[in-house]
Amino acid sequence: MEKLPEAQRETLKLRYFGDLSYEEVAAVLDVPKGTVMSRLHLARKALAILMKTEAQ
Amino acid sequence: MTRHQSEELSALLDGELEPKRASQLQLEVASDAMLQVEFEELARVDASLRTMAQDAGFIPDVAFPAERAIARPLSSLVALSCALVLVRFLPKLIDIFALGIALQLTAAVMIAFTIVRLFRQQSSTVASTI
Repeated sequence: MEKLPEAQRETLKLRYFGDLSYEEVAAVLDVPKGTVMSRLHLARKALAILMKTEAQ
Repeated sequence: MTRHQSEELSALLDGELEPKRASQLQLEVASDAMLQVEFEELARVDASLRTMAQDAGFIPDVAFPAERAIARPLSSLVALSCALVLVRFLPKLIDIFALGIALQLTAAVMIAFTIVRLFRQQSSTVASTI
C-alpha cells in the first residue's frame, strides 16, 4: 500500500480500515463520490499488478 | 470494456451500485470474459485488503469536515493566546522600545488575520452544510 499515491492510500485506509461507505469517505476527504470510486478502483488495479509482480 | 464499466466493477464489489445497475453489471460480467477476469482480479485484491484490515485491527483517525472546522479555530485560538502573551510580556523582558512596538504591530496583524480567517471558515462551513 505504501507504493500507492497518497490520495489513493488515504481512500483505501478509510474504506477498509475505517469501514466507511463511499459517501462517508467522500465527506471525510471532501471530494465527490465519483472520485472515491475512481481512486479505489485505481488503487485496486495498482495493487493487483503489484501482487502479480511479487508472485512471479 | 469502458473505463466507467471497469470502475463500476469496484463499486459492485463494495455493494455501492444501485440494485438495478448491479444486476445489469452482473449479467455483463457473466457474458464478457474480459470483465470476468478483471472482476476476479479486483475481488482477490479486495479479499487481501479485507484480511489485512481485520488483522491490523487499526482504525484510522477520521475527521469529518465539520469536526475539522471546529478543531481549526481551537488551534487558532491557542496561537492567538500565545501572541497575546508575547505582546504583553516580551517587550518588558527585553526593554527595547522599538522592538516592543514592532512586536505589538506584528501581533496586531496576526490577530486581525486570525479573526478574518475564522470568519471566512465559519461562513464556508455554513455554506458547505447547506
